[in-house]
Amino acid sequence: MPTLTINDNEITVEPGTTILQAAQQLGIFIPHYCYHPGLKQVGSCRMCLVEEERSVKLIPSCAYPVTEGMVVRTETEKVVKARKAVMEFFLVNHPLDCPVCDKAGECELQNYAYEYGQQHSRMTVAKVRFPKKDLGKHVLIWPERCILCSRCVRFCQEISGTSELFVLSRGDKSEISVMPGKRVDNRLSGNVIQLCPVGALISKDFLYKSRVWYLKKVTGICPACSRGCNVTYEHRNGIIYRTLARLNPHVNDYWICDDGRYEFRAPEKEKRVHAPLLRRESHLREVLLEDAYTAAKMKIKSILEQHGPEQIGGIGSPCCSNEDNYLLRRFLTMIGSKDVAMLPPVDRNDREEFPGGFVISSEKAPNKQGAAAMLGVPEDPEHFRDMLSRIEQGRYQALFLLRDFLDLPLEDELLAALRKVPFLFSLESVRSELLQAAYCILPCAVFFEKEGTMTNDRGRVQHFNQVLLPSTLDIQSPWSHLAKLMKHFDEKIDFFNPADVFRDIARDIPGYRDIEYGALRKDGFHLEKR
Amino acid sequence: MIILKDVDTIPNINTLEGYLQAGGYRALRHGMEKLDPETITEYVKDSGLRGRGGAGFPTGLKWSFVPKDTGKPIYLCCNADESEPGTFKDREIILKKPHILLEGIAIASYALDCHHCFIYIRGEFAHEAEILRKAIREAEEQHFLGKNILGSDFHLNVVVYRGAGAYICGEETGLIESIEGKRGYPRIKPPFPASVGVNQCPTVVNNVETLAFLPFIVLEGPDAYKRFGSENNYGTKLYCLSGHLNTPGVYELEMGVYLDELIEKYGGGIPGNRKLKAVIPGGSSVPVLKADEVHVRMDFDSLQKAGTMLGSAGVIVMDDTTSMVDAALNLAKFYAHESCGQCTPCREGTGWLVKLLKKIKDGRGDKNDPDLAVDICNNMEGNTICPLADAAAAPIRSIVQKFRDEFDQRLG
Repeated sequence: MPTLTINDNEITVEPGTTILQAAQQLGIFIPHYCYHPGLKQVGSCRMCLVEEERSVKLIPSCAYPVTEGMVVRTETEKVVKARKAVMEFFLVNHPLDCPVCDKAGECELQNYAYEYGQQHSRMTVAKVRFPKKDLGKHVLIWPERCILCSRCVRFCQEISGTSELFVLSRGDKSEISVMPGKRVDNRLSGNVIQLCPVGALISKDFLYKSRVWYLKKVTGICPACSRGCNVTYEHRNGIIYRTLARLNPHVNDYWICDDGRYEFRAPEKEKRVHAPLLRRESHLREVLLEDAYTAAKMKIKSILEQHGPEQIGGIGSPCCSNEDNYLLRRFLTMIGSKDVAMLPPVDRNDREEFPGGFVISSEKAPNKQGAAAMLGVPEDPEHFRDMLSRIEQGRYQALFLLRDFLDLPLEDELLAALRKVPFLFSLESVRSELLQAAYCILPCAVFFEKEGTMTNDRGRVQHFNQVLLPSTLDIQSPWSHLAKLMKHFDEKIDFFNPADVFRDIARDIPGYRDIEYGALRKDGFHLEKR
Repeated sequence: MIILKDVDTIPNINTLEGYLQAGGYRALRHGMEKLDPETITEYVKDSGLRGRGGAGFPTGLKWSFVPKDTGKPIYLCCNADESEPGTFKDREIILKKPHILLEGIAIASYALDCHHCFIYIRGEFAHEAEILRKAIREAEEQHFLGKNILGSDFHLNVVVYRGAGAYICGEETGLIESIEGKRGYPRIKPPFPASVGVNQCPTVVNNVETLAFLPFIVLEGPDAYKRFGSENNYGTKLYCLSGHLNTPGVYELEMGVYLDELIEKYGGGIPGNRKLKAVIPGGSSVPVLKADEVHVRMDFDSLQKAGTMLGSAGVIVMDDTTSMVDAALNLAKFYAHESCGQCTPCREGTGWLVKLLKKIKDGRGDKNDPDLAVDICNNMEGNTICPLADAAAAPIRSIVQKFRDEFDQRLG
């Protein structure tokens, strides 16, 4: 393993490590544009030039593997001068239109210009002009802002393997362009926008929507499929403006798919259930939450007395968190019922694996594996079919149903069956046909309003944060409703937050033993192969 | 004369028949029958042969970097992408004596244990490419190339690969990318082509003229070669004379001929008795010499001492009717057009220089502009993957500095 010194700090690194990576390990930042840790290095932007004792010329630290005994300096007069020069060259043909550029505030060109640039321009001649262009379903390009780092071109070659993008022309006429007859419409196209270090590649979805510094960032897990890609949600005033990929080397690297990036938004307010609803004299009426719990408790108790716990069942959801599903089963166990099933998973048969290793899973329910483990049921939809036939046979007096807006719409068959259940307790977030069938509806938070954990299709338990606040205090996560309902039965039960629930999961669920909730926040936890 | 020997006396020396008549392919036979590959490499090292593409890197040393035990094929690329302004020596060799190049290729391949050679020829040389293809067919029929060369078990496949008109593909890693069918972007080094070249295999890239010296070195021995030229600058050199001269053309002369002698004696002096103003001695990519600096030997080391370079030995002569502002702009346009656009300083710098020099030429420049032009050159130089930025910066900076008064006169 080679040892080198960078700015008088000695470090030993793995063979093949580049100078830039070695410097990162030491906490020394070397500015760079074309270098992206998820892509091959090209060393062309020349921003990361450093001085090495044995080399006459400055060397590109991103593309230079370390060798034994290197003496590297990153802040010498020569380096600083070269960086200033490169910054000046970048801005020669740049339109300097930061005030109207979506990238402003998170733009590396802006940041480095402040940090390393010279504060005046010597450019007195006409700039090269290019028209902006539409590259694909989600992507626009302002070629004038482009610094030709070629990250997007390499992404389309190496990760998506679709090669739509290339560099057209030479010299300062170079511009990023699409191959004739093609568009950047691959299912990972949004990534090229996120990895663009400047404002050249712009998202249609986010165009002129918000200045980036107004947005609050929350880390989460993408609910678009069972892969569980790590994301960052950016929101303001109750609206999610952007979904960005977040690094998790075990799951999604630096990337997410366009479904996760663009298709998943919280349902509109008009579609939501805002207050608890209870059926009185054949009509659902808004009630106070406490009244709904009390009514539910009374009803359950009378069913238990008249019919016994066998006539109470529960259906969990592969689109709800581990905590939601766990407490559903806990609640049923408490009242003596073992009859649980899981709503059918959502297979769309559109699995795609990309050359860079990224996978879009065909199973769309984000927590199939976790929900099944929490409920103690098989993942096989046959199990649910069995329960459905029991419902049709009128076996249940009361049924608890857990659903998220991510779940499949209710099939007619299921709906018809549910209508036969005298007392359907539905934990619902959006209004649906169930309103006709339910006895009691508890207004639930949608995915983006919840905190908790999910288990992806490869057995990785991951944590997600609450992004948005529900519009009323009545809207709560299913686990929270269930915890409060349980408290009506047993004063001692007290779950205050998802971490409390998870503590019991880590005690009760095989495979989840001894996992610490807090430790899931970074990269999650991989379950042993069952 | 070594390379162009007999071209005036044997009219059909461009054919295999004529070449054999002039003693062609004897060196290959000698090398393969009497010498082993290591000895040939030693010969090349001992001869002090320096690469004629422009950098003057010792050829034997370059060969010695090729690892022989990787199990991968070794490729030889003959660089015939001759695109340097003012340079037309490789074309002369191909036109007049294509078989000397093929013999050199066969010798180099034998020494390097290479069985596949690409001749990368610039796209504009359509006629020359056809000559080479024909010569390769002739040589293959007579077993000088192809299968079982001279009855041995040594095979060599030589392929002519035509470029598509990019100057940058003459840079050896740009050339390799182009051979692989990619855009001609020079590669970052290390790794050098000797270990990772064409198709990720060990590769040697040699200039046409370099390879054409090999038959002589192998047949006559390194000492015979060293009888020409001087210490560290042995052999002969094909000088390309162009510009304001009475008899421009290619002249093969002993290395180290004086530049003023070259201009007067071989170039026939300047037409119309006009005065010499400036000379770019090594193809357009090297610093310019003023009229009072031309008493200098035309070899690698002497020209370096004089602050310029031998480069490709393309001597561009400019007389006193030449506007140096126009000359600088002309050069700048070439490099801006040919910059591949990969590295920031070159991509933006070459384009900026054109506009700035145009501004000065049009009389719109202000007093800081000549200094700015020099500063742009300084900022470009040395900070890019390949030497194109250096090649643009060196002549333009030297012209601005040495003929500053002409620039100042044009300012608005």
